[in-house]
Amino acid sequence: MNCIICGFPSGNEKLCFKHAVASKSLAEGYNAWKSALGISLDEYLNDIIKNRETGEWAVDVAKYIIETGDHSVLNL
Amino acid sequence: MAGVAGSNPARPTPILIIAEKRDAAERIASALDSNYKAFNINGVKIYQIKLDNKEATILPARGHIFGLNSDVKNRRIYPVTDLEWEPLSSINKKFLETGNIAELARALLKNAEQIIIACDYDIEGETIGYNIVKYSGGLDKKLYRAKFSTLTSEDLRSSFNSLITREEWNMAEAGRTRHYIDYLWGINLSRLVSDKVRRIRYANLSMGRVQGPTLLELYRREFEINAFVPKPYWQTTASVEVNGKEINMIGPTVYSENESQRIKKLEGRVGSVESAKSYVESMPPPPPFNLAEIQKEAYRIFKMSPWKTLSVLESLYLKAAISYPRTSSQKLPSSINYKKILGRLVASYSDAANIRRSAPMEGKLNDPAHPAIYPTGEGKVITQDERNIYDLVARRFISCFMDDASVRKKMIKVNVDDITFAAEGMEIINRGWTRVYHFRELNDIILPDVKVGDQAIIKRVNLLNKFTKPPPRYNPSTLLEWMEKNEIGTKATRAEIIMTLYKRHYVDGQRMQLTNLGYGIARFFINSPVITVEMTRELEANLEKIEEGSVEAKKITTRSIGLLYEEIEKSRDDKELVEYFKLYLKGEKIANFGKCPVCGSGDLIFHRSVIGKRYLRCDKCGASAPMPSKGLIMPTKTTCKFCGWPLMRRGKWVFCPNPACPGKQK
Repeated sequence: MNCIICGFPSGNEKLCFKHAVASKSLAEGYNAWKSALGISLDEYLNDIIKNRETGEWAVDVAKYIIETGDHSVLNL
Repeated sequence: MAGVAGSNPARPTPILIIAEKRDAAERIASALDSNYKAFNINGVKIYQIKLDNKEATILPARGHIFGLNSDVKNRRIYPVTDLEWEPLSSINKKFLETGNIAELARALLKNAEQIIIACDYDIEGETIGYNIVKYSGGLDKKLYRAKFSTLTSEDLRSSFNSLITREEWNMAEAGRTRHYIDYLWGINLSRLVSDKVRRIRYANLSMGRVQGPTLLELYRREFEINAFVPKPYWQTTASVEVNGKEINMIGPTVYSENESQRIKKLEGRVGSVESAKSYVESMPPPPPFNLAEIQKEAYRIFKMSPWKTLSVLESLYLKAAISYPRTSSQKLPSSINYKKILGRLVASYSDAANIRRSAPMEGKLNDPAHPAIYPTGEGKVITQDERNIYDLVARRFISCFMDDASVRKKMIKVNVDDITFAAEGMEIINRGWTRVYHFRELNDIILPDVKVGDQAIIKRVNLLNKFTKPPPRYNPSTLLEWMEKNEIGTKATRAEIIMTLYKRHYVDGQRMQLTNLGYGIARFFINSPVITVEMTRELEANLEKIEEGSVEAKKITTRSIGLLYEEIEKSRDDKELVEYFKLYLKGEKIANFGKCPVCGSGDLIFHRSVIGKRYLRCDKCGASAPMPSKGLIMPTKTTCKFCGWPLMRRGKWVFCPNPACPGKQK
């Protein structure tokens, strides 16, 4: 299989090793954002994309979820 | 120059002195005999002197003149097992001139009764001297060692007056073992990597025992940065009025908006001073420089890379302006004669006349071979880089003899509705050593006098919504610090290892960013048991044992080689890993950069020319576009709305690579 985000080989997984790590980090981050600001997942993803500190791979995953609505990659 | 060029051919002499470099040989000659003669024999400048009424010849090496070599030249054959020490001139044409030195050494050694090794007193110097003596057939002669830490005439004369009899070669043995293992590690792992990516146009791939763990650390850091998700928090500050004076104070850091609003509501509330402490703090001078510390400091102050700093230090050492720089010591023994050095420095640094300590401030680290780096007060400093580094060394040295800096610190805490706000002030009492070593600044932060129980009114509360930050990218200085902390590499080789990562294009930029090639190589070795910090550290410890004479070199070599070969065999047969690696490096080539918009059927391939220019080129029609020369370039999934070329991204910057894009002309 290839990564659904960047097309890089990903074995039997949906995401390559880079985007898999970013997706895990994104899911963990949501818990912190929710308790800090009480925002929805979509609001969180939109804020994360705009934030300068967000890593490139995390931005890739957030954009992918916003564009496709496929929340399954987050494993929330 | 006091010496004269000899017109007659040099005569063989009963004493042969081996120096590490030509500059050092000349300094030794002029220190020991002002009437020395210099001869040029086949391009090698040798010096003849009188030493204790006997004739002596000083032969300068050019660093190492013997190196390791393998008969197996075919890069596809590995693991390589047999290595031999050979003259460097027969290994690499670049070192042809060292062949003349080796020949001359053989001729001079034949007639010599005594041999004095006067190379730098460290593992490399010892290895250089030992190899010359061994491969010129001189191990059965009377052997002596001159030990010195500066190339000043005084130090050199003193070292030749107290020569050490050389009976054991543990230090050289440790050096030779390090060379042996590093060469085997390097040649085999590099051949393994190159073998896997042969069809991809990357040249000069390499991997090594120290280079590997360093690259893997950059890889891990890259993951932390690129997968980072910031978390929000609020830093609260307040302007608090106490006794009619406003003080800027820092409140708690909170992690939810509700909590931050609760603190905002404290505006106008009244509390009291909970504590007010004042105390005097002494700040002793920092210890004298060792190599790692000056490399860090030169980067902090001048942004000078660690390898550049080392090269400037070496040049200053050869000019006898400073002591031997490849040291880990933070000690300054009294034998270097502080008073004399400080006396020489007074002309340029007036504070050298106002010292307050009879013994210098020292650090914990010791190096049996050399003291910390110190100025000699002699030698000529020419270039701006040399002036900067010399100034750093001299000021640090003088500051070690200065009194402590002292400051009065004041801590005030106020409590309002069980929330504490704090402020810290500082008043300089005595600038002490910072007057000389002005690279560390002290600034006053004055707070008013208050006492416990005084009324405190919160005038304003500011909420600063912040986000956690990813760890910073390494720069050459912080990476060097990481290597030092993890005890990988040696003080002498760390800077060179970092430079190799750049040369191989595994990393880019001052803030070191892994390239795709770097990712691929790191990914290939990420789970390898032979490329770990622990493995590297263990070997360093074993090399130290060889140096102490408590372990046999052969035992360590055999064990290391066994582990390496086992790993190579495993990786060679790991087809999945190999295919993965190929795909990773080809990733740029195969899919990621998209279809060519010109012919519509070819792939846009990322290339790097031999001179390092980067560009995209279609593998069918040859359409091409230049790419930025630095930074990690990633494809995006979108195309340019003006010309249809795939858009690229470098960091946050998205750009169209097509130089003729109508969008750019607009």
